Amino acid sequence: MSVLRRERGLGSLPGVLLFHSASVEEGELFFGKHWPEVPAISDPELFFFDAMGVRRGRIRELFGLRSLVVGAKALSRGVLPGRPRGDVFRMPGLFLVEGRDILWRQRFETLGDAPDLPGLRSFMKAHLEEHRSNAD
Amino acid sequence: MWNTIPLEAWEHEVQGRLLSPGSLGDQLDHHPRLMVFLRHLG
Repeated sequence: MSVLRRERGLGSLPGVLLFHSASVEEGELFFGKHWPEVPAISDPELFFFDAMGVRRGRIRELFGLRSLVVGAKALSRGVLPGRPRGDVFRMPGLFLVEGRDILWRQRFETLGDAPDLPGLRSFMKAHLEEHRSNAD
Repeated sequence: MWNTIPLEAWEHEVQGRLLSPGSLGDQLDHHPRLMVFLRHLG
């Protein structure tokens, strides 16, 4: 999340809408401290996770080498895992949407995958150029 | 490839900070948005 927050702060990302499976109160507490300017949706029943196809990970996706390496790096930086809330076996999800259309999505292969911001930027650039050429 | 978000998703009422309960579609129409699904807080 910190990468996205930094990039959004630099103006290189569109508006962000966060979904999490914790309660409204837990979300208020957390995002009020860490990212107060971004709307966050409390979805403890995982309605939107399911609707968008953000599914549970398989063993290899959850506990594969890449996930373990990223977890170990985080621990070495002093980042401790928080108290488990909701479905801890869910994969993350990242979508670019406009109206009712999903324009782009990242398919996470493991929990260790970073947000594909180069891929997103590349798509956005091509999408904008397509819009411009259609408008001409 | 473009997909369509399930209609019922946008008509589902949710609770969330900075958003009143109601249609999420109102928040998303006309502007690209990055939807981020977090596994956990932290």
